[in-house]
Amino acid sequence: MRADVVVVGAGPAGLAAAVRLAEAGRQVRVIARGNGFTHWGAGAVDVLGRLGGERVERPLEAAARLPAEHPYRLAGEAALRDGLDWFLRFAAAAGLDHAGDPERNRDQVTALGTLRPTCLLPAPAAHPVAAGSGRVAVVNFEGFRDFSAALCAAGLRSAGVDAVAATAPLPAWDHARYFTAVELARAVDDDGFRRRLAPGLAQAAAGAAVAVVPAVLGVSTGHAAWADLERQAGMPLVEAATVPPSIPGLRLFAAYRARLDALGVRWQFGFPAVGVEWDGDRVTAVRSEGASRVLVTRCQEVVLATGGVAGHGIEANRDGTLAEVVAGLPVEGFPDRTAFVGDRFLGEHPLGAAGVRVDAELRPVHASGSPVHPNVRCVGGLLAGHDPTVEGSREGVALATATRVAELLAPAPTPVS
Amino acid sequence: MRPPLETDVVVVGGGVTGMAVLRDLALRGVRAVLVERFDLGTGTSGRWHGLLHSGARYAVRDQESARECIEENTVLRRIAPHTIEDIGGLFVLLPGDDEGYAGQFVEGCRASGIPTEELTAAEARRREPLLVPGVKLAFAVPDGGIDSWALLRSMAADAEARGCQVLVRHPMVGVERDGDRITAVRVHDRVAGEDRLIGCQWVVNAAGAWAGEVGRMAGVPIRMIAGKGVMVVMASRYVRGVVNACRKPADGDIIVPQHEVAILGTTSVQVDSPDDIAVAPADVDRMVDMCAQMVPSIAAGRVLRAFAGSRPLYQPESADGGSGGGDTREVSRTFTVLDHASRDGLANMLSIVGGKLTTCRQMAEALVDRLAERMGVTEPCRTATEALPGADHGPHRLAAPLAAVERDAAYGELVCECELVTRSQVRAAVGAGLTELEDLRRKLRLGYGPCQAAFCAWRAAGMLAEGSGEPRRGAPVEREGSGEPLAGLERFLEERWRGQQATTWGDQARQALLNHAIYRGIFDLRDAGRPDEAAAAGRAPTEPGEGDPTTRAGDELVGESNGRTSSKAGG
Amino acid sequence: MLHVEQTADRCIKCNVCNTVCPVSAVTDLFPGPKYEGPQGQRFRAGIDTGDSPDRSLDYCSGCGLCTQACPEGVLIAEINQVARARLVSAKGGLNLRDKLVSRPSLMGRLARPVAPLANLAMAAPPVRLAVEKAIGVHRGAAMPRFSGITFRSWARRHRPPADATRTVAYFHGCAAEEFEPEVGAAVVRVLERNRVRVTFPKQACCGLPLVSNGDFDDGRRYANRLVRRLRPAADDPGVIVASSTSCGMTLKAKYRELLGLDDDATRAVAEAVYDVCEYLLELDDEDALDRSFAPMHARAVYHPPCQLMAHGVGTPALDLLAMVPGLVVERSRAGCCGIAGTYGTKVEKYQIAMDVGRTLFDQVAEGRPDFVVCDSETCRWHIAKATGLPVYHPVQVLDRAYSAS
Repeated sequence: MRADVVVVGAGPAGLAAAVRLAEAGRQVRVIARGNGFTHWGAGAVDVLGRLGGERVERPLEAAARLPAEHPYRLAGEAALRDGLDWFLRFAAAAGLDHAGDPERNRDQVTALGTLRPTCLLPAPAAHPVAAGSGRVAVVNFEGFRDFSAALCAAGLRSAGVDAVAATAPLPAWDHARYFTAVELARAVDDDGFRRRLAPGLAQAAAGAAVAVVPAVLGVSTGHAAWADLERQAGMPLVEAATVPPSIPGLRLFAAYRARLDALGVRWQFGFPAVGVEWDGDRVTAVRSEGASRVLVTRCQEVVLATGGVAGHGIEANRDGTLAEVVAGLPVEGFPDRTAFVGDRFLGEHPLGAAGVRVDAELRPVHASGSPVHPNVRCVGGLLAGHDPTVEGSREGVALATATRVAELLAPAPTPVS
Repeated sequence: MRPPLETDVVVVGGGVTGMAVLRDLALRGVRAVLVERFDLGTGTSGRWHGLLHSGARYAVRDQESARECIEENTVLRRIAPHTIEDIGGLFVLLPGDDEGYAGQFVEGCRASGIPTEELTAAEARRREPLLVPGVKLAFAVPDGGIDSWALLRSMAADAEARGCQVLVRHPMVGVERDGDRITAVRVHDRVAGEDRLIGCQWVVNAAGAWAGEVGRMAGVPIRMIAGKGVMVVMASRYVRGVVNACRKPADGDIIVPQHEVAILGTTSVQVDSPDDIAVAPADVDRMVDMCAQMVPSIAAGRVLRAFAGSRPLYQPESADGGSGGGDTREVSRTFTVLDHASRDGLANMLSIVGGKLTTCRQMAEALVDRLAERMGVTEPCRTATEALPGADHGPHRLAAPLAAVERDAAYGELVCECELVTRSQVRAAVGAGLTELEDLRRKLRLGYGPCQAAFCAWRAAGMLAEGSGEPRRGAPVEREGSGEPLAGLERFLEERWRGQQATTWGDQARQALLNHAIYRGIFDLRDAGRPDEAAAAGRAPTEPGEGDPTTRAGDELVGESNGRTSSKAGG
Repeated sequence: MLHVEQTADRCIKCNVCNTVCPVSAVTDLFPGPKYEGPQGQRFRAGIDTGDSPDRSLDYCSGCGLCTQACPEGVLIAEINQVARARLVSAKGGLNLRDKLVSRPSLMGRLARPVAPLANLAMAAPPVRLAVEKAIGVHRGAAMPRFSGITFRSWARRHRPPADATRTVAYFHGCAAEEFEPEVGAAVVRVLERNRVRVTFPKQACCGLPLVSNGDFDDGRRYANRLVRRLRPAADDPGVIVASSTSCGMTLKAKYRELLGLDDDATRAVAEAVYDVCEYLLELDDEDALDRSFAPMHARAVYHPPCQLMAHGVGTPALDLLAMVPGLVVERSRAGCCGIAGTYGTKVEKYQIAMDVGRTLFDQVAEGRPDFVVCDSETCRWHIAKATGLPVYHPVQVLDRAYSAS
């Protein structure tokens, strides 16, 4: 196989990089072992939520003060701004309007009734829920076991929100015996189902100024199902962030896939990249697992968006060593594996910040600082110098570094026949 | 303080020994109350590998133990089959093993009454397809797996049905004496946050590895050695039955399948306190490497967590206590009944120390026989013949939970998907009074699977928040008290985490980071410093009088879990 | 087999697989890949005699979209297939219907002498109703037309051109042999246009329907027979081209993964197999592909079969079709067309198959292409019946574009 640019990974960084590279005129092939953090996130765009455990109010400002090796500093403020701006336009064009101001963080309601800091929120999650919002009805759909209205309402109350729990009945449907968020969201895509759902929802939330619901309001019609249901319910509906699978993440993934198809990006999904070939220090091909043989895809450029340890881009070994799984790039390990994780689950875990060190052009470097390969770049969670979970920066880093890599690789490609 | 309880016998310790004593007393018509500092089976009974001994492990060097084991193995299969996995066991001879030992093994089993069957290498590998190809031969023995919490619950149900009482979260904190008799046991009710007196005629110290602490409170010296053993939990089962190395007992020579996982065991090191449950990575590595000699795919397999428990080893006063940190395997494992009247001048207390889980019923019989004689109770012991509640269900079969969900098409009911725990099971447990996620896990196996409670913890927390019923349809429902609804969830997650720190690499590292991304990333929960019960025990004073008397280990946990304030420091 | 089951260990319960399963999307009889696969597997370990606990497992179609989406490498669909084999074993083997539908070469051989009659009968509603009542093949399920001549008889009479620079062996499978010799002929012509000589080693059914239906014992017999026959071709010419993506996938991976066949011969054959579009695109990588396609002013929807995705080579047909001037190709939005081999022909699963395929059928109805393109034969028959449009193998399109140039 031949390609111009191979992007390895189909999480938030890989998808954004593939689209932006294709929009910039490169011919892109995505090789990915499977889905990733689009499906496991809160469905928002986190830029910088917390530093030192403290909430950040102004993320762009705070990002500028991060250490020099942080991905935001390496990519540059302009790339972050441009990435966020591009994302808002891309998402809106796909029917996924987002609210928010890159200069200022906002709160997102979660299914545990906590208010997590984030920057950009899709419209279904964007209506403010705060102490002083008026009465908030937390409404679960009957039989949906992945949301507890009581727990969410209790959590909101301890944040000073006037929240009460309720249940709305589901109309008769073909998944009554067993359903998860995915099936329910698909049902909500159907306007007949919504018509029968809305009155019960309105009644359950009667008397409230806004209703918080689980994030299940449609998955394949963008935000249209949510918007329609809001109209019929007669009050703002706010989707609460919950455990994977992220329905908002699925909406975004569908938008990325459609855009990739429209741009002619080739999609090779379900098989991991397992190595590279090189000539001198230049990588000439990406090797990926096939059903019975390794597939060799010759290429000009490689963008690794494989996501760190969590994304399976870095393997954490029993003996404390770490290994970058595609190109064997240098990754700092630990003296032994007790250093991988902290004592407290809700504390911090050094493995989450482990990554590949890169230069200002996002090329992985040796300890000396010189690039390992001139035509390999790293984006997203694979990068060292940050823990996207602890600091709440996953989508922002993905967009900033994807933007930067598209800038770097945008000049006219070497002709590929 | 509430009015004192009155009973005939107070049994201290909610492990299998104490509960077997309570049941035995109940069957003989004696009134008794059992007190336990945490939940049933949080001591050694909950921190072991789950082997229903055939006794073969002792056949060469301790035939008394071996014989006791095979006898009780048979009894337990009769009275408590529902707590047992009838899976058999193998002793495998590997290349490099001493063939002479195999001969001694066979002879020792024969002499102890343990049936064995010799298998060729091919037969052994047919039975255990993942067994190392180089295995030379194997002996099949009637090992099994036993669920100690199920056994505890059964025995408790039996005793309670006959009028006895079980008080969990009631640590003993002292006694009241009148001359050479104890007249009452003082306990601290953790839930209510106050002390209680239990007036009694007799006291049984069945506190296992903590028997020394109870002895101290009663004013009698009991020297216990905490023989700590580390166990490693693999994420899947690997073997059909128990697999032992056919050699002199040593570290890492047993693989015990327990439901859907395999437990690798174990080590044996003397430590200062039975509350020392820390696991070092070197111990984990050792277990994995040693057990991989028997089942090679364990070496690259996914380790879920590791835990440690202390064997309750009694050191008679006259013997040399041995140096700290030494190998404790040489201390005898047969049990001892201490009659403090003759030994220490304390007229009405007996202690039961040592032993192993498989022989708990027999240990209890020996103790209760002695106690009954002193009490003038003439009812004989019937515990070996009376079946326990639930026995009619027959032995546990691995596929049973899946078959049940399939039969009822109950996929939509699942709370813990890894362990196939349903909403109605959780509701029943909550209805029976369980309020802690940690207790739900012991009863239902909630959170035992590969995701280590990531996906079920918050579902269960939601069910607890809703109480035992669903919120009413259609109308907003007020729930009283904001309290700290997430405290129990956070504690449970920390408890699950405690067992993973030495075992996080590979697949489990990915799981841990995903879990972290969910609870810290999505839900924005941060560490509030709450310890779970066992961790709190590891830090708490264990002697009465040490520290602020109004602060007891774990109080702050309970206070938060039900929204009430407890008798915390200063209050 | 053991390896597949051990991949259950890798599951981190993330639910990604549940988001792509086309069956659980349309019916609550199937609780989804996570439940059936890695989760259920932990309760099946060591069960080898009777007493399989599984029921809902039967609704797994084996499409494999879950395995593809899983980021941790759990072979979910394969775990399900192994569990299905246990289920079948516990029941004492396949029922009559599943025995029949698993043996397309047998059905073809029986029907061939009376092909026109057989085809008429299989199109007649009363006959289909009777068949449905008798053995459980749904009256509405797409049935291929029995061919009066076999592909091999065509191949025997075919004169290869003399200018070949390479040679490949062609694994044509039951589809081309019994039902669609025209597809086989198109494969040969397209290869020969690219100076590839095509040989036709003695072969046989790959046994995939048996394996999918859960009969691993007979599946192994078929596998060993086919491997024996193709083994020489794995050495010389060293390339075995397959035009049925599911059969090609079976040779590449399923003998090893599901049937536990890991001997040298099976491995050699597996490593030599190429999907025909994969092979053609590799020729193009070496600048050895004849790109002189005549313009074809048409619009098509291309549906990559789920088993093609399981090859791990992406969608080479899209790149090839893009070389035909004037041909506008839209990619299917569906992951699975629903038929999943023999699954959708069964009376209890037919509606599920139709509901799964709805995304694709609606896309076709909206877009009104001139034809549909799909690499797998059972998908072609199913899509053709549901949409009323002609459905071609990609090489048939290339063959047409070559022959007009």
